[in-house]
Amino acid sequence: MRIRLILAALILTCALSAGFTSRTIAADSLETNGAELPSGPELMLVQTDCQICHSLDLVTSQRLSVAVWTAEVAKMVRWGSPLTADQQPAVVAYLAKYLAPSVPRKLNHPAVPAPPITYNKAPAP
Amino acid sequence: MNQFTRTTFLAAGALSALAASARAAGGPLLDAVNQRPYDWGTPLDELNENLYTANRTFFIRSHMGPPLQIDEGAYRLRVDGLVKTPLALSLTDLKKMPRHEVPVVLQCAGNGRAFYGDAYPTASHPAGAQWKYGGVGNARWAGVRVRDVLAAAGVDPSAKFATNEGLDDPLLATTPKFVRGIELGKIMDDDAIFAYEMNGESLPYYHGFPVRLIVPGWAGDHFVKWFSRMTLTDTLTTAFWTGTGYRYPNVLGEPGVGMPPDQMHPVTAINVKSILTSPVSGRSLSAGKPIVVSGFAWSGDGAIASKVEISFDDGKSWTEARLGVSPGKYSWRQFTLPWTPQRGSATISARATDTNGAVQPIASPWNPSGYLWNGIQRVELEVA
Repeated sequence: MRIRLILAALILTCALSAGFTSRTIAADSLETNGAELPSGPELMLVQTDCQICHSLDLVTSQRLSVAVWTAEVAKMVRWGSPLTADQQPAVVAYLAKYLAPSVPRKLNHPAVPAPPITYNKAPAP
Repeated sequence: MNQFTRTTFLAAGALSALAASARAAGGPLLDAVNQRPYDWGTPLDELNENLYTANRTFFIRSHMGPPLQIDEGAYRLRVDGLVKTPLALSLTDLKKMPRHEVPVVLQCAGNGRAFYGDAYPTASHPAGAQWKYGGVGNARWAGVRVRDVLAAAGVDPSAKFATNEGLDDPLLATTPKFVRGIELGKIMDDDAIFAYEMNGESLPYYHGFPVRLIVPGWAGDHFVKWFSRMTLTDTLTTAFWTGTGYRYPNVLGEPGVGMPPDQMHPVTAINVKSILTSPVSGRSLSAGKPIVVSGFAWSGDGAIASKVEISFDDGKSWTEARLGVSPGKYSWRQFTLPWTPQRGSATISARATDTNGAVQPIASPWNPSGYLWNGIQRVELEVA
């Protein structure tokens, strides 16, 4: 858990430095795209271990088979997600159940302000 | 309400407030396909404004997120590998070389990926960012021809490929850096450039300041941003983003089923496509009041859009639209057709044909990563 907290703090710092505003960070988690993701240990793992590198809308906008979720989660673990080998099967089963091709999708691409033009660094938050 | 839906509700409210405040301030908006790292598309009505998409509203695609800061004075474009003289060129060095400008459509390989889910509803959707229409734009890019830079370096006869990388790094050391390989022949093209300008201005930060590779007619994954290094090799790199990512089946497989990378090849040219940018879906129109239906059409390597037809009855009958002048073989061109709507529901579609005779399909063939969608768009309207 401590490693996760350190990673999360690190990512938040990097993201803010890179011009991801705090408003964007705050809104990260919150996109279901038509799916209901029930709370529980799997949701907590998805929230902590997927959002290190990307917002949750990248997860909730997809409707994948068990085989494809298995491959995607394995790829993310190779890429650095701290999900352990013990945790992966439950997370895959959770995603494959609640984000299956049969689950209706209402893609929500929220309108966001276009960032002002800058050159050598991100616009000031 | 569980924790997730409660926070979702709160965040949706925050985002709506943010968008409403941006609208009230008159600022332009983008569509957040993914909020972080930025995968932000250009709304259709924003694309409708100009033949060349404005820099500020040009779509942003991120693999890793941008470099934190770029030191323009210290910047060097490095060329190494199978060359006689490795180079390290400053931005000033590049600007002293002959300048070349070219209008080019830049389209994300995954633009339209979301529509595979609609077209093949029982299959696993292709994995990745669920772009609809906005992962595309058209701009005038200016800079130095790649072949001029390579001539200065002296290409070894054994060089057949280039490995391209930018200044952006992944957040975690275990994540593969975005590095893309390409055939040397393609970047020796007359219009392949190291661009330092976009629509007459310096490249903006989110579009790759100070230098971006422009590979005309090919998908956006080749347009490496914050370009820092080109390494010439005799074999194509097998690093993740070339050896595994951005690949298309050699032989199409069953929808929903994955395929090993060795049965696929790198994504290259984009294909014939059109988008209707006016009117947009959901718009209310007045019966008997004439409007102009418009949009843009383009194609990929070696072909340009040569015909666009419009249907007002969900594809039962088609009428040829007027095509605007093409400012270059890699640009898109506008199409227009006057129309007087009649009361009731209407479904408008556009279908482009290119100079190779390729025609947009109703749905593109399913492929594991959902690349190169060019299915016919449907715009649904109510006429009161």
